[in-house]
Amino acid sequence: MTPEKPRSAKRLIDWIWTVRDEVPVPDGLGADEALARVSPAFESDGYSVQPTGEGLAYANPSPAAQDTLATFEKGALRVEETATRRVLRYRLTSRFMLFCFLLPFVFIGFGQLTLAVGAYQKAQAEAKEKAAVAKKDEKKKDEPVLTLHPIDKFLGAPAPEKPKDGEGGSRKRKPSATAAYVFSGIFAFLYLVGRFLEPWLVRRMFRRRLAGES
Amino acid sequence: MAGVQVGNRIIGADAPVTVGWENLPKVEGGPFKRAFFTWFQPVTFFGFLLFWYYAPNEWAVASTGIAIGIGFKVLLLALEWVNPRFRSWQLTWKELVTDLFYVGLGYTVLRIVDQFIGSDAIIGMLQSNFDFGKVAWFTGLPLLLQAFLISFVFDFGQYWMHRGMHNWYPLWLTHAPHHFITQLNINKGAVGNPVELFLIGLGIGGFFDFLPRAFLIAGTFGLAVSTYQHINVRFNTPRWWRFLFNTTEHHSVHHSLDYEATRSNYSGTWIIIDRMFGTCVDGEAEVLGMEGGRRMHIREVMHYPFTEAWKTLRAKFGGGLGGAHTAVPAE
Repeated sequence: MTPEKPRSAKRLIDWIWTVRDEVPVPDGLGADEALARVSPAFESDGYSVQPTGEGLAYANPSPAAQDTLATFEKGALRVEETATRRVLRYRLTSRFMLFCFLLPFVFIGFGQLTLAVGAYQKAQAEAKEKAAVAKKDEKKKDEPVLTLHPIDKFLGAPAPEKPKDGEGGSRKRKPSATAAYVFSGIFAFLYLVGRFLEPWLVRRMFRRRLAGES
Repeated sequence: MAGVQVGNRIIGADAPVTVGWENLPKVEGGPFKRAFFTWFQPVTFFGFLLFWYYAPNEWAVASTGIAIGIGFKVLLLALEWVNPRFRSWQLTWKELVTDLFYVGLGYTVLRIVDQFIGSDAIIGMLQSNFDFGKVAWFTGLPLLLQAFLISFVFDFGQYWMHRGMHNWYPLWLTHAPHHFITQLNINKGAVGNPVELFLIGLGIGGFFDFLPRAFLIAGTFGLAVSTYQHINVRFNTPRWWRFLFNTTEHHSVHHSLDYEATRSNYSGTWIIIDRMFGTCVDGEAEVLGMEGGRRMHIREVMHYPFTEAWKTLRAKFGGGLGGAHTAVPAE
């Protein structure tokens, strides 16, 4: 495995975007043959691969959507001997996973921005109202037609209601951060799902390739 | 590739496109599955129509529409799981997160922008200045006719905006990132540069304060028709439906890697508009995207229109360096 830097503060948190795992190499399979079985995973367009002693390192800034390794833009693999067996050990990093980890906070920020903008607009509207209090009533407009066509009456459509006083003609949608908070929760959930699902899928892919399955 | 002659164009010369409804695969499975995916679209369409037509006034509000829309999309996501059109379009975790990021932008940041310079600002101005009594001739028409006219006229405008995006370079720059998607899934309609999403996102939500029912019914055309544009589900679409309405098959041709195929099927809901103007191609495609089918990541989507515009201007006026811009519409 490509030697990692000594333990640092970054190692305490890099589990967020880094996967370290190993897959047993089938008995009788040499290191070279094991690498030869997994290396087709890095042969699609966009991959740059560098051999590194008993392994390889790869990078792909824009993997294809259906690539099992799509989430992990960089990685390094190496066949190593443990006390009992041979394993394919790998370290994969994912900027996208870090992005997903940060998204809940980003959307909370969007929610706060929505509320701040709403407060600003409300203050502006109040200031305008104060300034316009001396003005005469706004010009009289015709009421919108509130009667149903005879066909709709015959078919039983509900009759339209007059807009409540004070609401007619003006939009009263209060600025709300609900959507932002909902998405924040969705991304927090999705991060947890992905942090376990994606490494599992990669592990399955490596296991199948080492076993010689297509 | 030889391609297929459609009108006076050759479709499918650059990348495979299946032309002609008779060449499309049918839904496979038991009788229930086949019946379900044959009738799902028209049944939900008329179901929604009846709901909005007869719903009590307390229910006939925008928030109900939004809730139904979200619930319907979740159902459609489940249908993608059950009966996908193409395995190569399977929704992965990364694709789902990416799609929801763009959807989330639409529900948050774009809504803020809309209040100042977008649809909300325009609608607010209209409501305070426009005399709706003067259009009593319209609001007195039968509801379904009003709804049809709202939907059709809106889609007519969308058709020309979309066609303009494929023919005028400044608009194309905003739309190009959306065409880099390499597969269709239900939420892929949201994927794109925010400028484009803002341009096409003229919402009618602001009108929901009074006499909204015709607009809500018109919204059904969007929910029950154009929502299928980017879906990865195999339907046995009825003949009359695909004659009138845009389908997932039509839209897959529009997203094809084949250049001429992308210059087809511009409408959002009413494919009959494309038939009127000779831009309809009946068929489907699986191989999608641009520039050989490379996936564009979020960072590039955000800066693409600006960086490409800069490269183009520099090439045109900057003398000699030449930016290699690849997103060039024909003519």
